[in-house]
Amino acid sequence: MANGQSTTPPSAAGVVSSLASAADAARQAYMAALAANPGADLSQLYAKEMAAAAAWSDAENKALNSDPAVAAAKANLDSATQVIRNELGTIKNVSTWLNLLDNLVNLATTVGSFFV
Amino acid sequence: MSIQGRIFAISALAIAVAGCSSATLTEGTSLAKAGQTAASQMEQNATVSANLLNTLKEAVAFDDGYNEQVGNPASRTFLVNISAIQNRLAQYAQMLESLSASYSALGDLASYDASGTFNTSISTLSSDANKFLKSVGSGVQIPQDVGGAIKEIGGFAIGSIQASQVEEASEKIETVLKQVIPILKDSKTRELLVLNAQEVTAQINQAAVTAYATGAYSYDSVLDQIGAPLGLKSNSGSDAIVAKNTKLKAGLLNVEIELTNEQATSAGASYDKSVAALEALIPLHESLNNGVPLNFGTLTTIVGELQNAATSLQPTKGK
Repeated sequence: MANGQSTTPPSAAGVVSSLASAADAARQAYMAALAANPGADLSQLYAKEMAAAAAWSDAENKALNSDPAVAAAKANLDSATQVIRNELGTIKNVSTWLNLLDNLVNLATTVGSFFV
Repeated sequence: MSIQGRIFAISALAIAVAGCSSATLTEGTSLAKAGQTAASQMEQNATVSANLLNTLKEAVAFDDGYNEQVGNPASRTFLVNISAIQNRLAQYAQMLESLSASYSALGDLASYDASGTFNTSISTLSSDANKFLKSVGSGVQIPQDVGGAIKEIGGFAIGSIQASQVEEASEKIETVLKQVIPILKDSKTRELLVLNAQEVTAQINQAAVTAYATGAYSYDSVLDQIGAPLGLKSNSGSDAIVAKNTKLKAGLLNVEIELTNEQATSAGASYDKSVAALEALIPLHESLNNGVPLNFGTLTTIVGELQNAATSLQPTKGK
């Protein structure tokens, strides 16, 4: 507990919830970019959004592998999700969104890899 | 005791039993009606969700095409996974339909000798509940005797036989509810059914919002919604004004995005209300079996809220 993080491994439902939250944040980022840039090419952003949705839905249909590393991976994903939620009203630039979603999808993929 | 005294005592007992039986049958009829209404409304909400899943495929196809991502593997994975979840939703709806049928049969049982109808209904409910429990990965199973026929009980009055059967039938339904509710409240089951509904709703609406952002739809319905508190209405020139005004267009688009998020939240609320409705049925069954008057207040409130949730989950009609 020295680093302030709980040593209790997260439940499967909790990890799935993190992935769902990340997918939702990715979708909202796409919508925010759409609202700020009507008519712009958002295809790469959309690809990231669907990758996050796929990572979440994959986990829904699998079981969580018991691995202590999942806690840290989940914490990193939750943190990246929160960054996106905090920026929904401010970021207008598509490439900035793309960088954030790229990071989010990488973290979601890592978390998803704990499901077998 | 004299013969007259015995006859009087037996008559008094018969009248008392008949009174109790009559109360049980009346309360049984009321419980059956309330249970059927609640289960039907829950089923409707679950069916709305299942229908939304079908619309999802079209929405993702649109989004893929619009974003030049036709054949995107992530979209395909997403849809395949969602189809698997859809099967579980279908089992959930099927179980609710069987629950509604069992309550209907309970009502029949309180009116006439409908034990055959009830036995068929409870057997189907037991089977459908087991299928649902299996579909969400639960190891819980409905006890085998619940799906069995209600006992033929002897008695000196038809009313008391019927009342006993109604009580036994009520206990059987209550047993199913008590087995299923904890699984429905389990976080994993909730994640599966609720998050799915929320994500699906949001994804469906994204296609509409994307098309809306291009100006493909009339802006009138959203303008009218915003203007309603002041009685303001759009006119034939409104769309042209919005199309030329970037700020106005962005404002209206943001309203649509907010509506999307609200609908997604409603999908979750609908599930929670359904579980609450099932829970509200338990004390009613207990009251019936204990001969206590039934209080339908809580259940009636929840069913009303479920009706509102179902309405908000229906796709809104635009121009």
